[in-house]
Amino acid sequence: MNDLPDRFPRGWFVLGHQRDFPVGETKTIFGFNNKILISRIEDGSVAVDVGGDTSWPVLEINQMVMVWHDVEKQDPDFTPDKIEECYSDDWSDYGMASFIVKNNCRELIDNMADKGHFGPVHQAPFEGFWNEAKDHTYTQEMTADSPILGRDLFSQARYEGPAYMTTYMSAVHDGAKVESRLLVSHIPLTLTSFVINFGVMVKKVPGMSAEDEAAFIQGYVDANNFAFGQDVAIWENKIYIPDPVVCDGDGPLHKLRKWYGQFLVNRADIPSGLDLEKREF
Amino acid sequence: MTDQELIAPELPEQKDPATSGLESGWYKVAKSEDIPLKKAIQIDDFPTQIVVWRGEDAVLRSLDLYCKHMGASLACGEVEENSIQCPFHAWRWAGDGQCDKIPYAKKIPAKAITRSWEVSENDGMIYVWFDRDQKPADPNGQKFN
Ligand code: FES
Ligand SMILES: [Fe+2]
Repeated sequence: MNDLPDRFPRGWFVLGHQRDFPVGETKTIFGFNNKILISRIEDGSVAVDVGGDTSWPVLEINQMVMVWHDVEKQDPDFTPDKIEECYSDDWSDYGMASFIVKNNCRELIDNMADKGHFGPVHQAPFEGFWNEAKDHTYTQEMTADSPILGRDLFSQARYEGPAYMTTYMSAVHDGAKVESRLLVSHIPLTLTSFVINFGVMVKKVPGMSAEDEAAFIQGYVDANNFAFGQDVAIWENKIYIPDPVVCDGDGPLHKLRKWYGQFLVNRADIPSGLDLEKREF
Repeated sequence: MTDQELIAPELPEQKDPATSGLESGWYKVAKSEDIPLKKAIQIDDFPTQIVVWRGEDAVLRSLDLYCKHMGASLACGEVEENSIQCPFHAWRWAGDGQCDKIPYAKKIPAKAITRSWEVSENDGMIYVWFDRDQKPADPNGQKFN
């Protein structure tokens, strides 16, 4: 009865933050139904071994170590854009956290078009909501007012491929504007479980001590952990409806799922017409 | 970074009741005291997964467990008046299977209907009617514990 995908999606997957892979050490994580060994060798480069296979392309960008998964074993056909803030002294580094979700990783993607869940699940009724799909990217823009994530919230979230999402967010906390960047990435463990690795970085506030800054980032990590907890409670107690009945207030869920579907088929089978012009919902 | 073993949990499912071998009748699913006013519970021990709740009028109602919108468990939702409200997008479902409220939609889609189950309560026991061919409930039908 479970119509699970027949594979893990094609794309770049974050293995972890660069600082977690110091020279000379080998780390073990799990993913793609395999044990993954990650070593940084003396010349500073990273070698990845997925269940004995060392041919998976590796990339280090935006403070992250990523691996390219493709059942067809072809070269990557895109690379995530460089995010200047990841290399700027005006911004903190990413504070990271992770947790497991017991479901197929596609559940995470629905969120992009899921305008209707912000109120009931996150107590954050949004004001504006836009979606856009272009090639391997899918972008959501949103304005909202949230007791948890901040007042006067603007966020722009973009997937580059199926598993690497970054967000620029600005909100007002205690009367001061706070700019932040969020990373939401995941690695599938099996077809019915995945690990979310997320990161938060903030624009440094002039005059703030390193200690206060760390506490501030931790506050943001905690707030996002809390918000994810609200989603996970739903995700782990649901079935997948392949062809949902949607209402006039819903986002472009069917479009989004078609866009995501391109990473679950061979390249030769990707249909055309997956783009979505930027539009308000 | 979490070092996690590979786990492959079974995912929730809404079983097809037509594949059940059970005969027609009333199946005991809970005791009356298990479902207080405005509370909902999940029943797995039935030909398919269902939610049973008690409305503010004290009457029991039952639907397929998983919401026909995007699949969340209605048993995790709230009873509002005599309907059950889904925790995911707050679509509200009446005991007859009709969606009777979507807080953010202008119009309720005609296809927003789910399967309902007949419930009866006597002597402190709660029964749900099952018939593989969806014949209507027989008030004098056989009771199974
Ligand atoms: S899944 Fe129930 S309202 Fe959307
Ligand atoms: Fe969410």
